Amino acid sequence: MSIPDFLIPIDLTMQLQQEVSQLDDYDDPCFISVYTSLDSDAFSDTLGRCCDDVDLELDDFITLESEGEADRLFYFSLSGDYRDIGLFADALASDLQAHNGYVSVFRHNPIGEPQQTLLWCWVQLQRLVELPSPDARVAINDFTDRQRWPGLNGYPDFWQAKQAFESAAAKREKAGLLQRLFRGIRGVIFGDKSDGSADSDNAVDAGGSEWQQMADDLWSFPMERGLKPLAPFIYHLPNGKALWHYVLNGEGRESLDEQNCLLELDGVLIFAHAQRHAPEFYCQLETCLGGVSEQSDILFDLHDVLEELCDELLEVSADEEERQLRAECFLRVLDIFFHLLDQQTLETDIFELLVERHQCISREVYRQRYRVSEQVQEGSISEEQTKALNNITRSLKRFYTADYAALKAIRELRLESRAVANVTLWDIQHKSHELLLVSIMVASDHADGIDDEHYQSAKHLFNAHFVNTVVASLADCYDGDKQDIEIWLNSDGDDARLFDSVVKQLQDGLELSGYQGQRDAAQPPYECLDSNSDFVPILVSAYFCLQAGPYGPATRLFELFLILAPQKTLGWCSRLSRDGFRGFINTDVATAFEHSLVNVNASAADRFVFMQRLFAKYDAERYQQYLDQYLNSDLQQRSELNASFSRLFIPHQQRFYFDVWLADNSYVPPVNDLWRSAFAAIHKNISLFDDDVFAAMFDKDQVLFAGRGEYLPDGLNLDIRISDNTRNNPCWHGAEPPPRSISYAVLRYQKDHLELVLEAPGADYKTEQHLGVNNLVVLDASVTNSKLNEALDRLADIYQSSQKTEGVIAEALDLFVAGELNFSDYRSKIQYLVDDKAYDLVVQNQSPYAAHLFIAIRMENDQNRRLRLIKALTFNPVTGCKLLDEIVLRQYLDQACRRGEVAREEINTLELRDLSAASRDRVQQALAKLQQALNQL
Amino acid sequence: MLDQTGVLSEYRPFHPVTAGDVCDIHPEHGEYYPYLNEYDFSWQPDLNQRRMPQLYLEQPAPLSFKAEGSSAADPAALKAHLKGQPLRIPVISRCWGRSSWMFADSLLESLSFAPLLGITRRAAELTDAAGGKHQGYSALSFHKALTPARANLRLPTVAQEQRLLIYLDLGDQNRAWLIHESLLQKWVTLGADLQTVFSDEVLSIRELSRKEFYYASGGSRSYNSIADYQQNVSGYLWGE
Repeated sequence: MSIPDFLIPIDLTMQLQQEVSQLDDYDDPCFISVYTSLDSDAFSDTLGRCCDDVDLELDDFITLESEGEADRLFYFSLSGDYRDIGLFADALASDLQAHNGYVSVFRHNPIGEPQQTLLWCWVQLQRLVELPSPDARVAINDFTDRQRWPGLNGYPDFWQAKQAFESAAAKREKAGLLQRLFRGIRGVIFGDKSDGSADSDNAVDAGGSEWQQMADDLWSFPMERGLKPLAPFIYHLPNGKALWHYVLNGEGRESLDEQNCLLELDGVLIFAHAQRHAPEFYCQLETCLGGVSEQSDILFDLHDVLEELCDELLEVSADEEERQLRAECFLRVLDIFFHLLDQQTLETDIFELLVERHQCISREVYRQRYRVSEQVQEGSISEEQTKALNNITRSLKRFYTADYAALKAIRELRLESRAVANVTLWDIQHKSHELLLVSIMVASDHADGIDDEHYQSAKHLFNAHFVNTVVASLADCYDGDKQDIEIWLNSDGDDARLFDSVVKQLQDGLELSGYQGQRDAAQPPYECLDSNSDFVPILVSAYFCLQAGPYGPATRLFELFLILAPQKTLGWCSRLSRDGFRGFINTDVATAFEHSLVNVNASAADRFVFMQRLFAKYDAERYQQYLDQYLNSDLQQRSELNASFSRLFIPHQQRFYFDVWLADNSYVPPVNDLWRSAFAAIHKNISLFDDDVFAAMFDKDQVLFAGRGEYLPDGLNLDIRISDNTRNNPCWHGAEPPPRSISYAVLRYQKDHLELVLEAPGADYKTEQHLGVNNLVVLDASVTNSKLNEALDRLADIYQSSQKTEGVIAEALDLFVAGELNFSDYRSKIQYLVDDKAYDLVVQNQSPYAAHLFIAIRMENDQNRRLRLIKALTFNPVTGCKLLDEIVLRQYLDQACRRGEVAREEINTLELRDLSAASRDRVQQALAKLQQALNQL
Repeated sequence: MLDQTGVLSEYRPFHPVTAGDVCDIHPEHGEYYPYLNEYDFSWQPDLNQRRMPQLYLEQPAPLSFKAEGSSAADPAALKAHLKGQPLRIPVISRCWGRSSWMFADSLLESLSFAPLLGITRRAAELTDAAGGKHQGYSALSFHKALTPARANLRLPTVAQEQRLLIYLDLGDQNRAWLIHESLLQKWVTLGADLQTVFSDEVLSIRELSRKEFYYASGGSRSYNSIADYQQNVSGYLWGE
């Protein structure tokens, strides 16, 4: 890993330290480092100019001059959205090109450490300077620009960077200045250690030579990044020499046990001990856990804490003998940590690592070695098993975070003892998540072919409480009469009228979540299906119960919810087959889940739609099968599938239809005017406030102020007077209440007072000295009455009715896209209403329900309409060019994908530089052609 | 604890009564004014670090703590009320987070803890809401919580005077501090405001383990004047 060799003077570290420590938990500025030959004054001028151009505010910058060097480094941070930052960085790099300038921009993610971002920003700058291409002058890593974010792969973490810094410093001992400087930047990036915490420079390790000597004698391989930091930690434990001996070659365990050496390790605090004796390991602990933490946190993250050790001892390619030696050493280190951590059950990922992944220990031996042995009577549940059952129940209670791990834990417990399936021994109160565990036991017994008394007890318990629990868990989210639901669940299911009535009652009566919830949505957001709802576990318990055979009430509950919200319902059922919030844990589980949906009577179309959505993201091969199946479907099947697709959120539908369209360019998706809602979502973001609309009609220097009245500068805080020129807003049109678009007043500066030239309707200014509006526009005295009237006429033109701004824009766009309005008229209608430089292919904070504009444009089969949509998106002369580049590239890749030259997964990720020279030429030709066509509109 | 037969039966819940609201007439406004609240008696280290620790390792140098503080505080007016007297600091108060408590050294005299309890002591210098400095306090940090089973396994061989305060893991992130009956009585006589009468539910490890969220507290004591607070008289108990 290459670490910047730039020289960071020590006297500047305080300034940098201050910068970094001033950040709040929600701050996400861009850290910017610049390398150039300009001196500070000239750089300051250039910087100020570039900031002004894009309206960014910069407080100050830090100059990092390197002694004896012609070039300098500058550092500063800027807040702004990625478009503005991008424009700024391009402008700065362009201005500095003649001065050997390079610009590195790295957006700080507030959940990360600012020191780390600072480090990455330097690393990025160094790589930029070292790039062979002289044209590359700017590098941006901004995670908020999702389309162009390069990710964080290849950037060093703290630990790597710290080691690299130290080793670089050590190698250059004689270069006094460099060593000093390295120490300087270390202080900033790795934190001030002056409070006495561990620092490898100060650490005392009296036994250093001895633990190393023992390793040389007893361990067959060189110690690396896992074992070496742990060596002093283990060596300095009570009886550490014997423990270290045991770790290295496995000898002396009996003696250790006889003297209770392992048991007594619970008197050692891991952080305190590491701080005193093993500073490198202390740093690893700090990095993993973010600071001194409880022992239980170490237990919880033990796999991460020992990650380096895993790499060294388990993840090696070697012959069988060496692999075994290394694995045994790992197990011996784990013996020590198991005892340090009070012999508590280790986290599942350690079990999976040792028993399943590397198979270096059997399940039984693992249990014997890493569990406290308990005396348990036959047929009873041990304390440890009770604890495990409680943990599983708790994980099912927080069902939205539960995943396959819960099923796996249940399976492991069942392998330990049959008694755990004896529900009569459980301490439960028949809550929905508890019944879910019961139903999983029932389903597992059925799958294992077990039909004993425990199975019967579990079934009996479930059946006895299911309906009551369903009704009880609906209590908080359904105000309607629950009697009909209960009757339906307990019925034989033949009464279609009752079924229809219950569906209707639920559709009308189930509470909706969120203030934007709509009953006519594809799948209304019913509160009972929210992530924290008590109803979800009981619904999923019905799914598991049905895996063990028919059970009327469960079947009938599913009938209801497959009508009300089919995809959401199936989504919850899949939770325990998933890998966290990702896809299925593996292919076998996915297949088994797909088959299991037959048992709940989910339709083939609903199953198809649900499965394809997960495969689209996590299993390209299976997804392709679904696409093929759709393409080969007959009319009837296609219609059923489309009906099921209509229950998905628009973007999910759109993505599937786009992939079908990619495979078959004659395909016409069932919804093809999504550009309308997509543009509306963009316009919601980029339309100007109404006072800004009015202000935009004047030259910048004629507008003294536009914004909320309370921010009026002191110099403009003058008496307000009406005059003969005072007019009412022409947009009013007498509508009551007045539309939002007139919620401002316009004033003209007149030295000793402000003249009210445009007031809001209904404001009784004369008697109340109150304008009745929050926002003000203050114009300069130089604005003449005729200029003012011109603006008012234009305003009246724009708002020909009492429409809101978005309505005016949408209407104009409709006409333009339909070819009923030419571009010049379209532009004049919207030019004051939107910030056209903010048009983008990706909408910031896009609603998950909104269609994606870029996909809608690419799928638009009507060439003329597509051209007009592109024009409407890209007409800004500055930002439009970048968008056009992107559009043409993606359209080219769409075609290349059709020709089989590019994989579907790559069409949104490949960049121009990834293409061959011939392809790049073709893209350029297509761009020229498109520009020409756009110019003719 | 009532549901325990082994060593844990010797303990009671450690439920300090913390200082709550302290109100008085504001000299300028002439109105009742909340000078102090519970956050003025909750201590956090005065460190310029992004991540503020909640556990403190043993170091010879005292660590500076400041009150978490409330936005309503008016240090100048509070100082005027105190008339040059130092603000009284309870002998037991909270530290920010859930892993440490602040004690007057007078309570900790001759107290030591067996290493397996994972308790560290860090000398503290406190800066109160009026800006006054206080020495003679220490933060006890509880680095590990024993499960009841582990406590029953390991504590019987530990001398009683080495395990007078313990930290228990009740499962599902719930934790409890238990105080040995003998220490509870001793601390109460030394002026510590601690709950001494408990419901049966709180005296049951099983019941505490079943709680959705258990918060170790004997409530907070509020005062209608700063003088009352300073003399620790006429306080009224909330949220017992």
